[in-house]
Amino acid sequence: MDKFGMHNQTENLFAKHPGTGHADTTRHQWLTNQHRDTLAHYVADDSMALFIAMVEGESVARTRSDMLQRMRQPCGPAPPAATGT
Amino acid sequence: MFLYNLTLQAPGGVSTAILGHFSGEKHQELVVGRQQHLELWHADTQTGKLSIRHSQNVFCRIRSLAQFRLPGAGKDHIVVGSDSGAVAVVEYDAAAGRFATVQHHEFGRSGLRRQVPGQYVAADPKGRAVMVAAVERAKVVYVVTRDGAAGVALASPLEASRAQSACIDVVGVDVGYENPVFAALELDYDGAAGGARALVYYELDLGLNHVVRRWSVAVGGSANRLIALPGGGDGPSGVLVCSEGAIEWRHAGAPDAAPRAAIPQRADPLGRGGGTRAPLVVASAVHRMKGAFFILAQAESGDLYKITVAHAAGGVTRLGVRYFDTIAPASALRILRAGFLFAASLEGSHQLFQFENLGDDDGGDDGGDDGGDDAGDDAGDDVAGPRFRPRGLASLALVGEVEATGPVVRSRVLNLAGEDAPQVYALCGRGARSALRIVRHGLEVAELAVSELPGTPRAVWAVRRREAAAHDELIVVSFLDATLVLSAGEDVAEVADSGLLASAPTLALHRVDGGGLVQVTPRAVRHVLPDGRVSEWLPPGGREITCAAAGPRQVAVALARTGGQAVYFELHPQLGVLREHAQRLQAGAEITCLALAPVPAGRRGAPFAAVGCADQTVRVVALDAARCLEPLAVQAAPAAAHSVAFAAAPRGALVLHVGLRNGLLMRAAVDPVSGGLDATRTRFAGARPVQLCPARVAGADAVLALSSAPWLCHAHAGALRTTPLSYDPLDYAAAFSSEQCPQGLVCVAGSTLRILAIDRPDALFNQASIPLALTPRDFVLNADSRHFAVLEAEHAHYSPAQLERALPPAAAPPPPADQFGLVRSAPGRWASHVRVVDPFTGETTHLAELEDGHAAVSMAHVRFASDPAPLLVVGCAAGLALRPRRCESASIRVYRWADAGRALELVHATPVDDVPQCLAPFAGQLLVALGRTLRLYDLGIKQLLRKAQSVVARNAISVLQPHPHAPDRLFVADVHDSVSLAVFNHATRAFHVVVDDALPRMVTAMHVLEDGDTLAVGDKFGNLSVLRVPERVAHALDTDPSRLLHERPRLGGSAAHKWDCVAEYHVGDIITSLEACALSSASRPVILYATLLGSLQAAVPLASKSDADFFRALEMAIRRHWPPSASLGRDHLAFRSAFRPVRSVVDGDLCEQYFALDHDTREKISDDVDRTQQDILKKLEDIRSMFAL
Repeated sequence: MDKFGMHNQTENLFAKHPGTGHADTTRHQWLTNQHRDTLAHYVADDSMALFIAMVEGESVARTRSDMLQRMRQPCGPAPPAATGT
Repeated sequence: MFLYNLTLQAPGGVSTAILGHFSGEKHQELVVGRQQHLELWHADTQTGKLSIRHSQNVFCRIRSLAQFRLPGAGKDHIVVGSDSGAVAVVEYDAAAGRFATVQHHEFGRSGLRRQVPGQYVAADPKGRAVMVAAVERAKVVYVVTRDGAAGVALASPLEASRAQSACIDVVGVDVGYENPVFAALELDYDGAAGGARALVYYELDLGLNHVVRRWSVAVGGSANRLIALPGGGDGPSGVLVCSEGAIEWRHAGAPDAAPRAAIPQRADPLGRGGGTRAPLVVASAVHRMKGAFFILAQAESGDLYKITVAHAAGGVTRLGVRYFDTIAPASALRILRAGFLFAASLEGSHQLFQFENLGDDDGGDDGGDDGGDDAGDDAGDDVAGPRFRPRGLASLALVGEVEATGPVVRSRVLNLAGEDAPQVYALCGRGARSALRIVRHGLEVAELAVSELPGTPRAVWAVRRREAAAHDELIVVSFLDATLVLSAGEDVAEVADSGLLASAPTLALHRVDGGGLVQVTPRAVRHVLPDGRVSEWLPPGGREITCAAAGPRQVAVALARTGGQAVYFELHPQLGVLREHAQRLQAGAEITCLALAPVPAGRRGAPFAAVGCADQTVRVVALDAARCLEPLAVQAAPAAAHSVAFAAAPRGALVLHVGLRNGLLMRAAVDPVSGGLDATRTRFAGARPVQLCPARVAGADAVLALSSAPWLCHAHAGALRTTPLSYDPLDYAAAFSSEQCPQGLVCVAGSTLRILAIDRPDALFNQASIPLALTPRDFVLNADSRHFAVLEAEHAHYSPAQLERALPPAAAPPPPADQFGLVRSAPGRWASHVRVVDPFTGETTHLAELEDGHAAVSMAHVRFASDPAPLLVVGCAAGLALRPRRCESASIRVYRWADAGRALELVHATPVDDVPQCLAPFAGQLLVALGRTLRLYDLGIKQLLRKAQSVVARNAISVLQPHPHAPDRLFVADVHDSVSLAVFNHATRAFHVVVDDALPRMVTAMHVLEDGDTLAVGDKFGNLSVLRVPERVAHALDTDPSRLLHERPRLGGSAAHKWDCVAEYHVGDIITSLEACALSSASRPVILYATLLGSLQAAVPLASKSDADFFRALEMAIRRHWPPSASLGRDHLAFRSAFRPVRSVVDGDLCEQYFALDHDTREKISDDVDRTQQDILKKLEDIRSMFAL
């Protein structure tokens, strides 16, 4: 079926660009991806990091460190596969 | 609407800084990244002054900087990590005075993306390779080589990515000349260790040209920073891993039991043992000396620690961390070789300290442990390191400072002081370092001396008597009918033996070459020779001299009632006396003013004179021998000239300034050969005839233009600029030099004589600041008493008053908060108060403190229909938790102004059921936003009375603004879902949303323009948008709003109609305040906005279509011809469209880059735009002067 190695290439692209999504993407995976995008932007954007740090009364460095830590599991651990959709 | 956006003041916060030899000179320089500005700073090691040498707008966000030096090269190169999806190697071109990109390699999409490298850059200490890393996964290593022309070349990138991991920090490990190694601090998403972080070594194999992940070790879950130690022969190599409360040394091949030291912790003033938080290192600096090194690290609180490293052949044997000093928290620390510490900050001013000693090494616990037996356990949990009491500076001394406006929380443009231009009142800073700043457009003037004079002086001069004197010796003040000669020196006293005529006013005074002075009075031209003899020339027929100009070898005087005759004198080269020229100058109309051009280098006299005539013309005449008194040019002016002055301009040009009787200031370029006048510009200077006074400021020629406000015309960054001085109106000024101030000014104002100095002609804004105690949140003005009520609230910290109450009875007093910061309490606890402050004296006249745990959230000044006096309303929440936002209880407090508007007294408090996020006056009542709900209250005797309530917002209301004219309309901004227009229906007592937005905008600030249909909005991602009510809806609202109230919502929104989006622009920084205002009494209004990081920008509405077309074409042409060496690879159009496509806004900062471009590029652009270069320059200058920017 896969005459031109299309499937392989697609797999490769999916691996390279996380968050591309496919038919079996769960709600948790999608949300995790969204949250990581957001957190990464907050970490990278000086004015956003300062904004959050000022509201929380923390230093910018600690706010950044906390947000990076949250990137690990921004929406908590993945639910068991059966209920994850 | 078409806007032209100009940055008036660049953002103040510095996110990153590096140290090196960037211009190839011997002294060290700093390169600083300030959002979109790459700057070169110089620290003067003699005076300790910090100065900004060059600032370049690169139109992208600078996220990280690193420097490297190619082996054998004479200067350092800069690697810039930005949001351009590319890495750029930049060098400072000292000859051209700007940064130039020498290498540029793209690797991904632009923007602040999670997996596109740019967040971190690190260079190998030997300059062989560079690593660029992203927040997640991607890391790219470039081998740096030389190309054929001995420039820098980047080899193709080598990937060192690791999926499912976030990167926290990257440094280049010093391994001498072995294969380059980069250390990265990573967080593995799938790691079994439950969020532990790992230190990973990536080795670049130069032989095989690939990168391998060589070694990794788990470090504490709170590790956040790496410090590379010197290696090779200079140190143990490896990295220090900084975690919460502890620092440990790690290196590949070193034993698992890593040497580790606890970070000493501040002794808690409340004596709490546990529960206080361990220090976290936020900045560090490593200084290499011969055979030794010195490491400083800074914790969040601002405490500096000295890290001592004992090492032997096998690696580090012992680590020690000792308290060093306390300074303001920094974002970057750098130690200069000359013994200075530079501390840059994201949230305040940037400071330079001098080392007085390197800290004491004797005795005391330094937190090190010798065995290293507990290494490897989680450092964040239970570190109770040694304690210390913070003290004043002992090892450092503050020597220099660059002021920055810091985080601007809120600002307002007001003219409380009744000056010509309004002032910006801004709430800045955070915690104990916050302040209410009063920012004025104008140069800062330092007043050195003021003395009263008998009578009202007309003019003043300062001269040297002797040729050899270094400074001015005489100050000559001319009155209506007399002249006063004073000695300038230690004590100012009248001088009798000067030879100058005291019984007549003086029209002109100058020192003559070869000694002596020339004084022109209405009745004579007097040449006072060095030996005291006086030679006089008397005008013929008893005519009076009306005006005069004098130079070192030339004098010109105009005679009254002669139809414009002027007599010209030249100093005889041999005899040393003034000789009248055979011919007279015939101007054709009565002469009102005269000026001589500056003497060019290598010439003996001024080549030109300028003559202002009563027939509203200004003429330039030649003074050189070949064509003496020949008219060269005539320029018509809108009014008669009051005074004229020449000034030298950059690139050998000459400029003629003309001050007119009607208050206009005119400027024209003078051709240095033909004397022709060209490129005339006119601007309004004030309501009085403009007096021009040549002066010298910061080593360059300048002209003071004195009208009802003083102005300085000077050259800055290659362009001529006219800037107001933040000072009283002056009558006359002259250059003055003394020992205390080599380049000052002596001025007369009213009946006083003043000595002034302008130290920083590059800073367009100056500021005064009033310190506050807690992070300010909002403020309102009591217009009657002209006092501000400032709302201050702090999360998880004690306010000074709270701390005093919480202190145990016998405890030592806590360290002062303004120097050492506030003391932390616990999350969920708040401290807040309302401060009444007089902006003129800075005095706090009243401090209304809220109960412990109450957070003040919002405030408004409301004039209730049922009460004649305006009342201050404050929204408070107790037990406010931030994420998710909720509170235990909330209330709205109503305060009445007391003591003539200088104090507050509580009237009553009304409990409400949610956080009162914003308050606004609305038709004689109070409008309160409680989450999604809008509630209307009226004033009662015991409490507020609820009148109406509606749910209007999707998530939570963030900003409220009533309509400027219509009393039943208001604009409601949601934290996430943009702005909607709500109408109050009196029949049903409910709010109906009539217009809402099709796009989400996380609104932080908004302002409704005067027409009531247009609003400017700033959002959390740094965008400026202008929205407008659709014309049909606006018409319906004005005629028959009832029809609109019941229309069915469309497109999933809450209203039937959507805003018309008029303009979009990406600013790149969160807008905290927006306002439409005129920047001077004579200019048209602009949209002025302040951003969080302290920049001040103006969006100028362009009135005519032709202007808009011109600027759009110019912007497009500059984009097209923008030299690649000036950019870091970010496409300008893409940058300004980072979130939404830019619309109807031209980037004025890009247009103004035209001034700095070379001639060929300018020519190409002017061909594209189909205008001459002169036209384009004039347009760019006109738009600034028209809006008084």
